Amino acid sequence: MILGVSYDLLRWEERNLIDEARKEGHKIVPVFTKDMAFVTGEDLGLLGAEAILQRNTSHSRALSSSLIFEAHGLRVYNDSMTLIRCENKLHTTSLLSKSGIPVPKTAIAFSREKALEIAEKLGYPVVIKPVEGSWGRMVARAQDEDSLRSLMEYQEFTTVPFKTVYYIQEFVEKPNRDIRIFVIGDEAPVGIYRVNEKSWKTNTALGATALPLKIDEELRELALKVREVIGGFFLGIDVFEDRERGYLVGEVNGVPEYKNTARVNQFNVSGFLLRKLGEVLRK
Amino acid sequence: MEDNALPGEIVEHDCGAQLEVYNDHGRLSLRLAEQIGEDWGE
Repeated sequence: MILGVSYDLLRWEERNLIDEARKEGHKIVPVFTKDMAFVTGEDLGLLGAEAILQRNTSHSRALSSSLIFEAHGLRVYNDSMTLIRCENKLHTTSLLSKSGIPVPKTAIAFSREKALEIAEKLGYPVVIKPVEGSWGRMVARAQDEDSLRSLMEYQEFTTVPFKTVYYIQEFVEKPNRDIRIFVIGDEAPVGIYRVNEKSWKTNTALGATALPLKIDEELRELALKVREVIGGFFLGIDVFEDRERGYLVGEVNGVPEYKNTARVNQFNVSGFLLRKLGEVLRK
Repeated sequence: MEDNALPGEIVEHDCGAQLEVYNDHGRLSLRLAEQIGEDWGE
């Protein structure tokens, strides 16, 4: 197959994908987004790429370039709608919750007063997250009304999008870890525990350690059900383990990183992804 | 730069600066790497 890989930073994942694809005899067209320009009436110059793997680190570049590729009739993995559903946390949570997928108790409010009222009902501590954001940035725990009020004020004076939309979530009493499980095509083959002994935040970007995940049937089914709701081809799903309620889906990532997953599981994520993509493109 | 370098690759200069490989009119060249953006992530 001839596959375009759209990216704006060549991380381990993108290099590994390109190397694996070439090893498998596929033709790869690297599309460095920052070198690309869309000009009406002109060809995108993708050298016959049948499909595009979307790997941009910047969410705005990922979404914009996906929209352009799709407008040119290319299949993009993940497609723009999936990226939107993943990137916007209130969209993700609303869709999952409506579909009966267990999620942490979450409230979205559009004024400080309402947010404070709802936080009171959820019970402190609560977690406040930006509606759009990654790597645990600006995710904070408010122990009481006073802290939440300050955190909302900080949010309002940043440049994040949706800064006057307050995404407030119960603080899930989880072990010192969470789960990242990957969906690739119609399978959920691999994942990791993300363990952090020092902080309740378990993002590997914030220093959590990756350990191999034992995937049970319930977790596998949950991951595939999330994919049915969110769509997409390649997802990184974050799951909390609540002592009483069991698995709760925290977030879904549309351009997931997997260096640590591949390393600790000795699992060739790029190779698996390319094989599943090949199956889809041949259909 | 490595022989198999690709645009978007980050190279660390001797002075400690992070440089990014890019395509300068058909020739691979280096420029200062972009800082982590507010919308970067997974």
